[in-house]
Amino acid sequence: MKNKKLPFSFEEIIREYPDKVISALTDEEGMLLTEIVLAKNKELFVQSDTAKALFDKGMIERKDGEIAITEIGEKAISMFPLLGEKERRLAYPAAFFPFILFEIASGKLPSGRWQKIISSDFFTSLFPGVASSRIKDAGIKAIERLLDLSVAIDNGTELTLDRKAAEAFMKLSEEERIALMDEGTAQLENKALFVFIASLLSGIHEDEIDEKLGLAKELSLASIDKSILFLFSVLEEKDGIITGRKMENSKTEGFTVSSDFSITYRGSAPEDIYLYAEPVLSDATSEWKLTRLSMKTAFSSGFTPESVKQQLSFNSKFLLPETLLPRISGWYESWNALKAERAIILRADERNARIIDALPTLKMHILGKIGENAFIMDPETEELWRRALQNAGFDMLGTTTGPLFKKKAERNFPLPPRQFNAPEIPEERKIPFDRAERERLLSSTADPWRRILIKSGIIADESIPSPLLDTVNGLYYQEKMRLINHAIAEKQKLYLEFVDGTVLTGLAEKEEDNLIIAGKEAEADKVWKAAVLPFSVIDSAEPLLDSDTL
Amino acid sequence: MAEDRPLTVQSDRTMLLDVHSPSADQCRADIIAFADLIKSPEHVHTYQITQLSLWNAISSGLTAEEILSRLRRWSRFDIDPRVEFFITDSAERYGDFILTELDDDYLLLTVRRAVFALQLKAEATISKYLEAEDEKSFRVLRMNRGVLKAAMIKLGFPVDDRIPLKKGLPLEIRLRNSFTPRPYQKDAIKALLGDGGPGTGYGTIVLPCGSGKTVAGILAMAALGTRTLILCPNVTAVHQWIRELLDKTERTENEVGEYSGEKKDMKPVTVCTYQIITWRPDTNSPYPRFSLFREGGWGFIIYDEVHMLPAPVFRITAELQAIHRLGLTATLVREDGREDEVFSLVGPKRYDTPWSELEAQGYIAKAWCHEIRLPLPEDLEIKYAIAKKREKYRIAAENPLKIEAARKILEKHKDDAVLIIGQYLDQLEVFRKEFGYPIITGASPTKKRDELYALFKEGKIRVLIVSKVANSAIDLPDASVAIQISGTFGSRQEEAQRLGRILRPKEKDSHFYTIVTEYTEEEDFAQNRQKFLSEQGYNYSIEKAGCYEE
Repeated sequence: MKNKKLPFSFEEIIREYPDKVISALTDEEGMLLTEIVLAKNKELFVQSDTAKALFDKGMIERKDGEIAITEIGEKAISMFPLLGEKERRLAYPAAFFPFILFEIASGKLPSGRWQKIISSDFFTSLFPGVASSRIKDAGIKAIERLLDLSVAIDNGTELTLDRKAAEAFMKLSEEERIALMDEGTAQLENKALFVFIASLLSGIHEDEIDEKLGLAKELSLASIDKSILFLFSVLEEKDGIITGRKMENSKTEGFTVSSDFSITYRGSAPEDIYLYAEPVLSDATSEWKLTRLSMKTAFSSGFTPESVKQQLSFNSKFLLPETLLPRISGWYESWNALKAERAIILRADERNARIIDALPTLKMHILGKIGENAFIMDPETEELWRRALQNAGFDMLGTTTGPLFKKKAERNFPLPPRQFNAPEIPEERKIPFDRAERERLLSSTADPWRRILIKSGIIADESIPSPLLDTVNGLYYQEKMRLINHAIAEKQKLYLEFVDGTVLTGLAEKEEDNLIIAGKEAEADKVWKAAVLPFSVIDSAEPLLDSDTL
Repeated sequence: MAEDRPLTVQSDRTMLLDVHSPSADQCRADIIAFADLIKSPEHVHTYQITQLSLWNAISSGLTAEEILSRLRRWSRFDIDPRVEFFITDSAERYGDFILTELDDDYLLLTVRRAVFALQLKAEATISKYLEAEDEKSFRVLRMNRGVLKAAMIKLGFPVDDRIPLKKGLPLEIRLRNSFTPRPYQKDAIKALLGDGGPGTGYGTIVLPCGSGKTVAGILAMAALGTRTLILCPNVTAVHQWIRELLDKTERTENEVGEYSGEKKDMKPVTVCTYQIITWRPDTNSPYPRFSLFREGGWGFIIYDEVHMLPAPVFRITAELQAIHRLGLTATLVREDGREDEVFSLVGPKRYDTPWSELEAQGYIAKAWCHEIRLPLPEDLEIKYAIAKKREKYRIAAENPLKIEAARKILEKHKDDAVLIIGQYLDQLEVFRKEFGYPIITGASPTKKRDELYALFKEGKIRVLIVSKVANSAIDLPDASVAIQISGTFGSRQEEAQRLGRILRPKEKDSHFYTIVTEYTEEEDFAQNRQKFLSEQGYNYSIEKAGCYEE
């Protein structure tokens, strides 16, 4: 073995043995790396000695003032064991919210009775992977919240959708949508991170769930009610074991429209699918269908056959069935053949009626006439024709009376734009911690210093030489004590080699004339060699096992 | 490269197969043994695991472990534990009830646990067939073997029927060398006969119209080498079977009997109609010709077009559980929902193949489906508007403008053999008068029908007008165009069978036209009719009747 001095910066070792260095990172170090990846405020997680060691080992770095995981560090990140055991995680029913929006948009939910429809076997059967009682409660809760958020509007007859709000709601990530189901005031992005972390939990015993959610809270700086996580199928409990469901944050994958007009895809739903397709099943793969009913909703929402086709083509991985457009056009013709429009009747006396009839500025607002002196006015442009009337001298026109038309209240739209994007966390480390390799290396040497370096993950291969330390000899007592005292004062790690060959490494404290280091008490007088160490060397106590020395 | 996993197993036990995946064929071959093909449009095929499909798989030797391992091998996502439980639980239940021989008159039903015996006794639909032998077994009259099994399956008690099928009187049926069976025909028979052990030798084969189901039946006859009774829906089909038997086997005219309204000729191979077999002098009498089933020494019964199996034949089939049985159909879709009874009495679906596959391989003709839409004439609009629902359908179906639309189609296909198919005799009569082509209806004598079919096949008649008597089991190899002017409401099976009349492979593509009155009840029914074919991957182009005008 060549005995040459190696720097502790690891640069050289990483360059020569990148995979070995990663495989020498323990699960604990890997967990910390993962915490740093997930943490909203990463600074809170880089204060520990282990984090400092990770800096030393080139796993994390400071980039433009921000903490970042390096390329090599990414290979040691994994969801487990930080977030539990690797248990089977079922698919999250990704089409839940779009299904709910469809129910609202298609006018199927009458005021005061919509709960009954959401509780129906038909609705709950759309989610075969979730207990029907839970999906029913989730559906009701979701609609209540959508009403609170003005995404859904109860107009007294039925629930309707505020298109803009629904559009914004669907632009959010799934985690943000679930976070919105919670009424807490924490920042939405942070709550979404909390949901995301919770969804990654796996195989957690129910006694430990609060501790794990505590970790999620620590990482996300927010939390939401545990019951919401269960209600919306983020978490699933079976036989006392809690596991999150896989939430596919990827784009829509495998979007397929078949000749029977069924639509299937994996992952998240296309944003406006609920406006033109009817739900069939929400499971690992989501299934929808283009039907006459779904097209009615689409056309009422402003879609034309061509725009539906465009939407489908945009998402589809195959050419659309040739018959699609003609079929949808046929439905469009039927839809267009008869329309009911809300109107306001404007009554005038004979003279005024004559004037109104002649006013060019009013023409576009008059939908028709009933008899000589009554006009059917467009309620959507009420503001404009009122102004036109006022300009024409009809300034005494009172407020519109009668129960037929209620003007839509202006809404202050409360939903923020999407801010949360789920970090990518692999389930397993690309290069796992190689315990056997460490044991093999340890058994290859009795040298206490080399053994500490192996345990520290610095010597990851037999061919890596033990670095020589710039030590102070115990014979020079004052110099030795100066070094030790300085290290204690500066909270630097120490290398202390004793006369019996034992090596202690770690942060030291002084207790009267003795030193406490690596959990051991030692006499300063018996220190044979001393040196300052980087944080990447672990705290350890290694007795000399045989005659090998440095 | 990621492992190719083309299957999604949904929590409701449906499975979606991505047919464009490189390993789709292997996957299909693995799952078809325990799942039913539900639909097969061009991109994603849907299969369903049912209790019945599992029991059939288990009865032919598959285990729950093997089924699960196949699912895990192909599934893109983790499988819902409830699906796994369903499979293992269903498998465990198979074998709880075992049927074995007892004596000449009785069979013995043994249950695994005494509590099961109590359950059976508590079910009135089952207990009436049971005579207690001891606390865990019952005597069952031989004649009740089928009805008992069917009743038990309905309630979720699968019977492991360990009584081997009877051989029947031997009969050598040698195939001629003049034809080569197609691979799927051989596969279908292999699936039917299995290894010859218990649980094999009976079942239903589903193959598209025009793909040679009769040949599949003949292959089975040759393999079994026993006296065979063949049941068909009409006399024309009887004659077709006899022609095929003489053409494909070395049996002579003297060795193949016809038992119909016209002839009562019993031979070791006899072909008869359902109608003749279910004849009885009055509605209260027994069926005297059921003796035909019991007395012919049959070792094999073929039920052609098994989707049309009349209710009384269900009853006699239940008695014939000791005989090899084969059901043949293209569309096991019964609008009366009795598919399950077909499966439990004739036998489970042993083979099914997507239509599009056979079309791609050239075994059935490439077919183009067109929906021709035309308006209701003005003078019928009010009549239609005030009519009741059923009347509405008829007014729309008999739209006189269909004559002109049909004329244009006939002009377009002036060199093709065309069938005009309709539901209402009055309407067909109008078409006959208008175009002067011959007509076949239920009232036409068999002789006349056969003559007309023969002239059509010889090309001496170019266009035939037919009622629903020609819906199925009529082989008209040269017909390449069908014009459907009306149909039985929303019957999916009828639509598919009618398309089937033009699916025999030929030089040119086939065209199926269905003329529909737009914005009427007929449009909705037409869509329902098209469902089965859409699910098989057929696209209906939608054209306005006007587009046929020069």
